[in-house]
Amino acid sequence: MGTPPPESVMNETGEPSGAGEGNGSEQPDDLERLRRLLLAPEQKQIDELRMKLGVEAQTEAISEVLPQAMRLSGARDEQFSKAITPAVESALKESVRRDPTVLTDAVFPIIGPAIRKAIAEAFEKMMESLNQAMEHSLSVQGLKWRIEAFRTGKSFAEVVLLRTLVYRVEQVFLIHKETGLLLQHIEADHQSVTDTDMVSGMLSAIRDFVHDAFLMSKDAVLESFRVGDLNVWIESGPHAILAAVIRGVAPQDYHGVLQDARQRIAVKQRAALEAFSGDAAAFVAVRPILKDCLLFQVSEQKARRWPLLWPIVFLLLLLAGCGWLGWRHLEAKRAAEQQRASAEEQRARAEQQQAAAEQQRAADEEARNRAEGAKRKAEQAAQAAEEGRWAQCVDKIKGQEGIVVIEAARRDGRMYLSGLRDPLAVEPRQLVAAAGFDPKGLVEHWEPYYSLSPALTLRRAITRLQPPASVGLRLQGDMLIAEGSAHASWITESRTRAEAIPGVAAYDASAVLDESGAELAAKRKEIEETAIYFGEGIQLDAEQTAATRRLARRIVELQTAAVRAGRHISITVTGHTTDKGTELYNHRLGEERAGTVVGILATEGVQATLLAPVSVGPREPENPGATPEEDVRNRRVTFRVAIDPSNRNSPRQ
Amino acid sequence: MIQKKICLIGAFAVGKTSLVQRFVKSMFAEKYHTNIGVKIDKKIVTVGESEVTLVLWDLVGQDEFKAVEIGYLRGSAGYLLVADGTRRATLECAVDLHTRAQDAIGRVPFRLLVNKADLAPTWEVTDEDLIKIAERGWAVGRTSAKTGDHVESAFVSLTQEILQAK
Repeated sequence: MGTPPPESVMNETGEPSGAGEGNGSEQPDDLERLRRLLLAPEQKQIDELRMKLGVEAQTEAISEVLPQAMRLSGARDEQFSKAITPAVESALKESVRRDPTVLTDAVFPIIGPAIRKAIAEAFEKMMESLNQAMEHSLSVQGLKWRIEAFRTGKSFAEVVLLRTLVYRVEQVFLIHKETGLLLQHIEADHQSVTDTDMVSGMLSAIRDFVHDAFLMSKDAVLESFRVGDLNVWIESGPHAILAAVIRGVAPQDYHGVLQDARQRIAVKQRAALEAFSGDAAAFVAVRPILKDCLLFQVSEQKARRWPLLWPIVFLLLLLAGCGWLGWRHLEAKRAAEQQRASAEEQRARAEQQQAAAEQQRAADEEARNRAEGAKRKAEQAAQAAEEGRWAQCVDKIKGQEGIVVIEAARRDGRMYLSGLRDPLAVEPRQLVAAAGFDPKGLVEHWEPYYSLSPALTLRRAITRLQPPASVGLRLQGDMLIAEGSAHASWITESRTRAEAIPGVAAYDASAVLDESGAELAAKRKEIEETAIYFGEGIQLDAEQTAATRRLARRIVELQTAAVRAGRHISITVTGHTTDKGTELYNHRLGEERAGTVVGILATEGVQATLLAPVSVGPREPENPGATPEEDVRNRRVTFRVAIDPSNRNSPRQ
Repeated sequence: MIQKKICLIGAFAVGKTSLVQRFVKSMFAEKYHTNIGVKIDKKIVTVGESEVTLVLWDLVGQDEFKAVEIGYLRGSAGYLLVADGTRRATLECAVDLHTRAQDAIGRVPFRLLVNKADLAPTWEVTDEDLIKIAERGWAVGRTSAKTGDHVESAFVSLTQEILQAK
C-alpha cells in the first residue's frame, strides 16, 4: 500500500490534544470540545480525503489482482466466462456501432483463410457427388446397376449404396444366452427380415454346435462367421449375446462398438437379464443402444474429370457467387463482433460486482437446464417405448398371412405402411389400432396380390364357391377337396369355378353326394303314387278336384327342384276306364278324363308343356280280376314322371 | 409376448419331425438336422388370453451311431419326448433320454407322445407298458402324424404347465 495509514493522520492531527492530556488530564472533555470547535472544517476535509484515497487504493489494488483472478476463475470452471459473456457481447455491439473497421481489421487474418478452405471443401464434395451421380446414371456400370435394381426390385439408390458399400450392419440381435430366445431385434431401413425368433434360436444352436463339435474350452466361443459377403459378429456376455449381421467388411474397431453396447445393456438391464423367463417386453428400452450399432460406411470413389464441364462451371460460378456473398456477410459480422469484444473487455473490469450477481443467475439457469435435461430424458424414454411398440406392431403385421410389408416407417407422428396385401388378409389398420396407435395417423398403400398360403387359398375358395353348410372344403397340397353333400347344380358350378381360383391346381368333388337325385326321386314317388278317381263320366267331385289341386302343387315343387338340379321333367297323364263299353268309347273316355285333370293342373300353375295326356282305356286296371264293386276304382287318372338325367338343353333358372 | 424354449427329443425315426410339421411354422430345411443336429421351428400357442411363442428345438433322433446332443437342452422350459409305438426300444430310449434330460437341466415339465397310433395293430408297445409309464406320473398321449391327434393339445397343456410352474 502506497498511502500512509489513516491512524498516522489521526496521530498527527491529535498531537496537540495528546500534549493537553499530559498537562491537565482532569479536564479532557473541555479540551475535546475545544478541539472540535477549532478543527471541525479540517476534520471534515480529512474524512473526505480519506474516503477518496480509499477508493483509489482499492481500484489500484483490484487492477493488480484482477488478471490473476480471471485466470484462476477461468481455470476452475466456466462460471466466469458465463458471467462476462453478456458484458463482452454488449461491448462488441457498442464497438461495431461506433466503428466496424476496427474489428474487421482485427479478425480478417483469421477468418479469411478459414472461409476459403470451407468453400474449397464444399466445392470438392459437390464435384465428387456430381461426378458420381453422372457416372452412375450414364456409365456402363450405372446401366448394370439399373438392370440389377429392376431385376431385384430395389431402388437404384439402394443398389448404388450396396455396390459402393464398404460395410453395413443390417441387423442386430440381442439374444438371451441360456435359452437362445430373442430379447430384441433391430434392422436397418429397407431390410427384409425373416422370422427373427427362429433365426435367434438357430444362431444359438450354431454357436453351441461349434463349441461342442470342436471340443472348445469353456471360455472359447464363436465370435464371428462369414457367408459370402455377409458376416455375423457375436459379442457374448454372461447373460446376453449381441449378434450383428454385417454386409461387407467392418473395421476391427466395430468390435469395440458391439462390446460397448453389450456392456451398456448389461448395466442398464442387469435385473431384467438375470430374471428373464420369457417376457422380452422390458428390452424395448435397449433399442436406442442397438440402433447405435447399425453403422455403415460407403467407399469413397475417386472423382474423375467429367468432359461436360460447362454446366458444372456454371454451377460452380453460381455457388462461388453465393459463397462470396455469404463470406462477406460473415466477415462483416465477425469483425463487428470482435470490435465489440475489445470494448466490452474494458468495461467488464469495472463491472465485476455486477458479474457476481450474474453468476448467481447463471447458476440458476444451470439448475433449470438440468431440470430440462431430465425432462428431455424422460421424453426420450417414452419415445423409445413407443418406437418399440411400433416395431412390435410392424412385426405382427409382417407375420400375417397374405401381407408382405415393403416399407414401414414412422415420421412426424404419422405411420406409413406399404407393400402387398391379399384382399382376404387381415386389415393392417385393425392391428395398428389394436397396438394402441390412432389409425387416423396411418397412411397405407397396399398393392393387391394373391397369397398362395394354404389358409388364404382356402378362404378364397370358400368366398368364390360359396359352399352350402353341408359341404366342407379342405386343401391337400394344391388340390382343393370338397366333401359332404350338395345339389348337383352346386357341384357342376363349383367344378367350373374351382380351377380358376389362384392357388388351386386341381379340384376333387367326387366325395360330394348329389342331394338332388334323392330329393327328386322322393317327389316323383309321391306324384306317381297319386291317382285321381272319377265317377261314370268325366267330371270330378269336390274331393277329387281338391286332390288334383294338391297334386298340382307337388308337380310345381318337383319342377322347381328339377330346374335347380339342372334336370328336365315330363309327366305322362294316363286316363283309365272300366272294361264296360266299346274299345273306342273307352279310349275316348280315358282321353277326356286325362284332359280334365290336365286342365285343372294347368289352371293351378303347372306348365302345360310338361304334361302329356294319354289314354289306355281299360288295359291297365288298378286291380286285375276285381269284383264289380271294386271295378269303379278303375275310373281314374294316373301319373308317370320322367326325369331327364342329362341336363343338356334343360331350362336354367 | 412370452417366449419359451421347448425341445423335441426321441429315438431315431420315431416321426418327431413329421408329427409336429403340420402344427409349427418352419423356415429351416430338414438338412439342418444332419448338419448340426438341430432344427428350429416356431409355434404360437394361446393359453387363456395370452399368446406364448414356443421356439421349438427339434433335436436329431438318437440311434446307435449318434447320441442326442444334450447340450442343446440347456435353457429349455420343457420338452416333448417322442416314441414309436411299433418299436418298443424307442420307448426305452425315451425313458433313458428323460433321465439324461433331467440330469442336464433339472425337473421341467414334459410330455411323452407315443407316435404311429394309425398302425395300432402292429404295435409292440402294449397298454400295460403305457399304464406302467403313466403310473410314474408321466403324461402320455397316443399320437399319429397322419391324424395329428393329441399334438396340439400336448403343446397347449405343456405350455400351461410351464406357465404355472413359474
